[in-house]
Amino acid sequence: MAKEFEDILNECIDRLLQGESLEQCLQQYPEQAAELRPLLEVALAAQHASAVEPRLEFKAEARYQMHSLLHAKERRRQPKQIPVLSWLPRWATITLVAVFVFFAAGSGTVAAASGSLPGDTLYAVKLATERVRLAFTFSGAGKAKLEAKFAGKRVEEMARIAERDDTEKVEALLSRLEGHLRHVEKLAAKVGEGESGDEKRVSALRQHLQREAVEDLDILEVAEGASPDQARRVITEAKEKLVQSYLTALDALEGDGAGG
Amino acid sequence: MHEESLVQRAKRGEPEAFEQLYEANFDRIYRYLCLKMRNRADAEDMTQQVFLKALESVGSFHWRGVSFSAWLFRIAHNQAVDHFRTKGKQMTLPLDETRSASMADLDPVALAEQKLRIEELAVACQRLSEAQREVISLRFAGGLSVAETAKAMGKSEGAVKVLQHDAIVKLRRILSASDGEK
Repeated sequence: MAKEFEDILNECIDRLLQGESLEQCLQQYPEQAAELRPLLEVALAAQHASAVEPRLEFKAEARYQMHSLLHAKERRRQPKQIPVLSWLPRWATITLVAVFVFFAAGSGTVAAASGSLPGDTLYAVKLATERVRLAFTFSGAGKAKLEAKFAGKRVEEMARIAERDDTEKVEALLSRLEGHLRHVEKLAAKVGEGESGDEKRVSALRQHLQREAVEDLDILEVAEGASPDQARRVITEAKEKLVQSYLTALDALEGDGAGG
Repeated sequence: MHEESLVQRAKRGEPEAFEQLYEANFDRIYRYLCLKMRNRADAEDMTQQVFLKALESVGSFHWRGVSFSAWLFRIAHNQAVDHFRTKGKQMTLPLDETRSASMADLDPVALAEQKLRIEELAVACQRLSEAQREVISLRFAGGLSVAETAKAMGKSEGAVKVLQHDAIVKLRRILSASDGEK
């Protein structure tokens, strides 16, 4: 008898979880309705309480990290599938590939890739080219400028993708943008502290970052006005992150940091 | 069946397959951990750890009657247990820091009531037995069926139904008592 009631309760809970109303469930079991109602009300409250949504930025960041990890794992497996390079040490293979991409920068493929967007076949080439350019830039200030430039590219991509209301891709781009901005902050702090006596360079970097920040903000503001609701929220967040990061970076480059 | 073939592909190292499993389970693992941890920051950290652990171990996962989702919830449960073992007692944190999916549509009065309910319910859950709390977390936050809950907990379906019934009766008593105190 008691067992039967537990089955009925469970069936009703399943139906509530699938979106049926309390009254619909009770109609099926009029004899047990009085006993069921208070329990199902608690079940409904538990369902509401549990319907917590992860923050968008956390979800995007976590997704990006998992994506990077999975594809890094896959890449680690791939050299074994290229017999022509298999005799080379791993570092040499990576260098060769990087140099190849770097010197191919003028080629049609890389040029075409520069206008690509996430989801396009050539987008991976675009990102690889950026990584190689960073690898072949050795000064802190040069790297900071490049990171700011790539942040600008992510901003442009966000604006273009946001128009299509592809929120998932806009969120993924936000994660990448945050990565570039974090690097800008770190590099600016290093330049501000370390490259003493080179105030000209610090000042040039400061001006460069100011220019980039203003340009990126302009693009985001236009995109914010033109984007559908979901994407607009992400764009607004990007704006806030951008302002915050550039302020931190510019602070690090202010005054006494470069004096020594 | 679909999940099973994705798991096979993920075991062979296909990133897209693991990504699909990740997307299908991310939100519910997060919800489950929110209810258990009652702290959004910890739930976020732990959700990522669950999937990292799953990625590390997917190669050794065997489909012996336990679905991939149930296996993930076991990992999540074990992580939470380890967390509390290391950090001591469960900390309390206002759940109004988190947002309920249904809240956005409510007017301010309903929103206040809803918040109150969430807090009351979370506190009430702490007064359930460990097994009862687990059933509530898996069923309502994790969205698992009774069969999946049974697999995740290593219990029979009948036992889970009894635990579910007892947990709801107890919750109702606790909630009614706290209503009477106001």
